[in-house]
Amino acid sequence: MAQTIINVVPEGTPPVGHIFESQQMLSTFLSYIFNALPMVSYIIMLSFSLNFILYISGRVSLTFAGIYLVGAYVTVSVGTYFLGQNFSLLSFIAILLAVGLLGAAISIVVYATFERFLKTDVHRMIATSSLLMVFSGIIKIQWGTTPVTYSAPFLKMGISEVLGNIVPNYYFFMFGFSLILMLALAYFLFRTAWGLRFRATSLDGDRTMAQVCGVNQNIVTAITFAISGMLAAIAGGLYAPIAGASYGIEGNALLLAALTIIVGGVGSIGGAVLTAFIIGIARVITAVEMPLFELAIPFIIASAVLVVRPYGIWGKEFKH
Amino acid sequence: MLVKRAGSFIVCLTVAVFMMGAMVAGAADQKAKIPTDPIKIGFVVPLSGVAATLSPNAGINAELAAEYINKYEGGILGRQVKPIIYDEKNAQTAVELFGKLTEDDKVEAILGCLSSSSGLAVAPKVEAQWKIPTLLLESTTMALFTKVIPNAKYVYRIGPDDVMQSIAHVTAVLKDKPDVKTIAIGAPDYEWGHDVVKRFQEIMGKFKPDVKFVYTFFHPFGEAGPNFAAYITNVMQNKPDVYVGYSWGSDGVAWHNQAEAMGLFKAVPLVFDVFSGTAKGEMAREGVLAETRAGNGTFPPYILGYPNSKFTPMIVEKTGVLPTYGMDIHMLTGLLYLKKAYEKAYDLTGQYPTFEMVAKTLDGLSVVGPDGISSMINHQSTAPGMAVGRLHKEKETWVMKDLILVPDYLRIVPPWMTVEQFIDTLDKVQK
Amino acid sequence: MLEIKDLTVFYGTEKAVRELSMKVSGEVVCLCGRNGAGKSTVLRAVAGIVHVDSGQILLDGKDVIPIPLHKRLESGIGYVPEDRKLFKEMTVRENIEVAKIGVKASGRKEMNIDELLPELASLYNRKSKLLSGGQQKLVSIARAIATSPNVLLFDEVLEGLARSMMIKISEIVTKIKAEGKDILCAESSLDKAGMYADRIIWLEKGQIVATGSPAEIKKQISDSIRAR
Repeated sequence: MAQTIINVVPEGTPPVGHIFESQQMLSTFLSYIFNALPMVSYIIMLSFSLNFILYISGRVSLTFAGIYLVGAYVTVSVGTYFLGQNFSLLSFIAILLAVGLLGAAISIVVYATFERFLKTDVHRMIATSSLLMVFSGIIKIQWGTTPVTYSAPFLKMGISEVLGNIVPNYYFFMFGFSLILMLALAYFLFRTAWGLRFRATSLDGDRTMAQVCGVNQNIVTAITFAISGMLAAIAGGLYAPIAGASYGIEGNALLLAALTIIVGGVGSIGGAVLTAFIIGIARVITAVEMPLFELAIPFIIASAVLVVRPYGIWGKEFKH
Repeated sequence: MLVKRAGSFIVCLTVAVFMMGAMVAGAADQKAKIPTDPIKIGFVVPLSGVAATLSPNAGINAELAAEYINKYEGGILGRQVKPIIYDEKNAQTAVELFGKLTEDDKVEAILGCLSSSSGLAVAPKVEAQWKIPTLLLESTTMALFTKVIPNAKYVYRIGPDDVMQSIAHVTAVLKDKPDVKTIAIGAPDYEWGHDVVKRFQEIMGKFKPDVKFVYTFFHPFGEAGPNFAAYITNVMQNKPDVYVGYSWGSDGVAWHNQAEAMGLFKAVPLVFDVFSGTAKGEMAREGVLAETRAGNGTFPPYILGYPNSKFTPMIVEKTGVLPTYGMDIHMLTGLLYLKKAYEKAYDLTGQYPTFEMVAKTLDGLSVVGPDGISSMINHQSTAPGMAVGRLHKEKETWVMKDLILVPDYLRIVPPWMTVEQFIDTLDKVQK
Repeated sequence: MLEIKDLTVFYGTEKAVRELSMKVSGEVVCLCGRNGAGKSTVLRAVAGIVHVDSGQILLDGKDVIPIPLHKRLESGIGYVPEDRKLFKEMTVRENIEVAKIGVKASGRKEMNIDELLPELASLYNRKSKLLSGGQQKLVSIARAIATSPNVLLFDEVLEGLARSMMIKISEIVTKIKAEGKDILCAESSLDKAGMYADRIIWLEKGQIVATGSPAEIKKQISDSIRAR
């Protein structure tokens, strides 16, 4: 049959097979994007959790990775306790927001009682990475070392079929949620009076002059840590239904976040989103086409970017 | 005179014979004294990390195994068993712990090592240096007794090896889906994952040469926050008759959730997810084939009164879940082997057994354990408890239905054959 | 009125300002002296940026030293730093906004920036890093006077500018004074200070060595040079 169809098409027209092929290619390409969505969302939020403090307060704080861990575990526990297998979207969003508030609270407390006293970046890096051990110790005592899961939101949201690709709706939810959070953050930074204060103290501004202009540095820093903690906790909460909460995920979170900043640049929301897509899709493609490189590809990308643009794609050099 | 002398000679002789008899008899009754203090047994089992996800309650279950021996079996040689339990963590730690147990804690036998890497690391040092009766629990790598310690004296293993495992898996797939033509197979990307996939493909090739492996993949092992969507999409796009998966632990849980959300279990006619019966039910899906080692403590049936009928309820009472992995059950099997070896060696020699005697006695020993009757052949327990079954939820518990047990001659390499020779004969044996 | 009494500021173990006392009242006072004489330090101490070791800084009789840095502007002290220090990624409007949003300039008559600095009107939506040095200086001044503080501190406000810009800024300073503000400046050269200052205070090693009108100070210096 196919043979006859090709015969009646005028010469020079691409054969039917090609049209089918390009559709197939589109479908495959879309599958890469869809399958990358969870990782993209998670990278965006996590990296900005680290990025935000670095950009606004000029501080390196790895505490976010511990908060990410707590966010994942608490979401699992609270979700299982209150909702169990009865899933409701609004309740789940409420849980995520509550977990976000918890993350914010933890972040502020850790800053006020501990990180505030660390004077140099080296101290901050060493001290906060040691703090991660404390976080994982607490997790170990509270939840043990076995991974815990709460997959109802992921399983109950159903699937969509897009051009022959089966995509769990949760992927869209997760991406949408993180995108809304980032848009809200962008709105806050660029459209509100408080955002102006934040930008004034950021690496793009001048901290001393911001204070001369009446910006209360302590409040800005506290809110910065709160937002970072919130992002990290929600990232954990959003990803937990897909991959579970397991002891040790904080290390990976740390690496990916740091890597994204290297590629995307400090303080760039657009850079973080785009980098998340680059890394996420690269991982999906390598998983299928070159499995050997799946874990290495984010690092290969980061190294390549560093060679070409030492301050990241959107990055600027900051005097620190 | 002569008679008189002869008479006294006979009397003397009689007295002498009696005395000698008495001495001999006395010797027979006069065995060495058994110490009354507890006998210390070391356990090196995963209490944290990835391996702990397979056997989340290994520490508690080790204590319970000792409690069982003390309560129902009267200890070992009448001595109470005192378990000393350490966290296996990784191969290097395992080696250090074995040294500590033998040299500092003065234990009289060691059980443990879930991970092949730990087993491979400790075995040569046990043989060469510590010379202490050692029962590895799992550490399933075939290389252990074929390459690393081919002339093992002190090291034994309870649990299946790769070959036993793979033969059981292939047999199960063929029994469930005799007309299988295409298979997709995936495993975690580390030595064991590659081994099992290779074995599975090799043995399937023997049994049914026309089966095609349409998609083979290895996903990152134990990565935090894994996302398997790309692999799942590819499995589904290849439309295999059967998917065979070896993901376990946190990978396994994530894999199952993601596969379920993307509809893999509906899209593929038969899914054999080897570890879906482990963990706390997070990986279980209705109708999926799963492996069970030691029958999760529910096999043989309790009504027959094997040790599991008392031991499994102890575990459930303490942990709230059935033993999830072979190791949990094998800790008791191991203690029963040790009890029998110690007691047999003592009975035969009358001395308190040395490590060497215990190790020698273990060879060929049979015990009635919580997973049935097994023997130590080739330093390896022949525990029949490895089976494949179909997961089914009854009320609130997952059970395995339609258990497929593989006969001994199909899964145990005879002592006179190499693994390769054995695999070579499999197709003929099966016919 | 700004009054400084026995002000001492240490930089590390070194005294940058030594028991310095002075007053600014309805005039433009300019601190002059060589590099390291302590002129900028006095300004920064008044602005709240450097720690004061002893002494008092009185604004209309009230000591401002206990007031934290971010409250100084609200209490009526505006500061134009030496090297402009704008929020460079922000527009001109945003730069000025930052100072306005957090400050309750209660009871102070707002200054008309458009009238004082008409050059800025067309630049409001420009990113400040894209402006020329002189324009940036104007933004920096606009930011400081946006909330109409009673005391203004100008640190080397004419430094590095073209002659025409220097004249323009000198005029602006004079206009600001006309609004009834006290102005304390620092300049390294007497010539520049002479362009707008009513009175000059000559500092050496953190101490006042001479004070007077620009012409008097010039004369004193040339006298002392001749005396050597």
